[in-house]
Amino acid sequence: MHWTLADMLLDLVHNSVQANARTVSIDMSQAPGELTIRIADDGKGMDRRQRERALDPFYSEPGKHPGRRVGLGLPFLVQTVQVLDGWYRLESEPGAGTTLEIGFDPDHVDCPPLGDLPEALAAMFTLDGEYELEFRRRTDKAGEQSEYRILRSELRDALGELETIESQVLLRDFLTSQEADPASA
Amino acid sequence: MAQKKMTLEELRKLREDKKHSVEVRDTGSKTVEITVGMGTSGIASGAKETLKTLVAELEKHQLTHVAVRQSGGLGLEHAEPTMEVRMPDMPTVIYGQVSPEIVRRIVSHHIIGHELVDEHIYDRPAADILDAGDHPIVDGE
Repeated sequence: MHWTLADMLLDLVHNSVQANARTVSIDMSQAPGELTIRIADDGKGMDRRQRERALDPFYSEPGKHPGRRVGLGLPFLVQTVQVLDGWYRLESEPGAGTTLEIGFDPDHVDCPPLGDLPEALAAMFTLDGEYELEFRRRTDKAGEQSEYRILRSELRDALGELETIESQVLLRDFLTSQEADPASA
Repeated sequence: MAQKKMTLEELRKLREDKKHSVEVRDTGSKTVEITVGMGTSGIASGAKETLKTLVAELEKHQLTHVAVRQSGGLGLEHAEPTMEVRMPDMPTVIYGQVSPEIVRRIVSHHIIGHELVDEHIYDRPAADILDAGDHPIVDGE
């Protein structure tokens, strides 16, 4: 199974929204030799036992849907980070949300590709549910720094309903333009 | 030449321009809802490509009465990518193994042509259709 970093981010945001988070924030920061990603939510959180089980690929939280037997998102992410000699930190408490931070060298030979980040972002911003999502990306490439930040509420304000086809097409154009131009607007 | 970064204001203006230029089709004011399964298995199986192709096809055919949603898995991990289609006067079905090619067939056959893509149906029609007893799926075709 081939995963990209964008796919993994999408899966994590899904987890947050399914954990009834009202606010999710992603901070993706890249400098030479290191990529760090921090995703934080105010969802229902996990106690110690649930945190341990969340990293078990053969465990899925009850209630997602009948017959589900595996929960692969977090275990695959942790496995990827370990293969890259990176680090991760998972903090979560019941009622206090969850924060996951990871860091690794994006130039590592085994690092998955970034993938189609605009498409993954489009999916993240249009999940079912009432939630705020903030995505911030900072890059520092050969001394040239760039940054952009997107809020779901601002997108809804600009586009109206995000489920319509017109909105979905414009959203993808907007997100693609954020990635294509390395300089800030 | 590098693509210029779009601002939110430009996005808002494009949305307004598009709203005024699209002709509203007379669909009897009913809305079609398509839900793409976007759980871990779905993402790994290519659901993002499915969603991307779906949006492109719907836009190409100017099907403005369609709402596109996402869910976690639809319960059919063995058949990912999956897609549920709800529309008036048609049974609600979940399609499986929905590659970009199958997306195009679902849009042209199901959404536009009102014909089910039988070989990719992975879940039963709605109960009212079964009760009616006269649908091709019920008859085992």
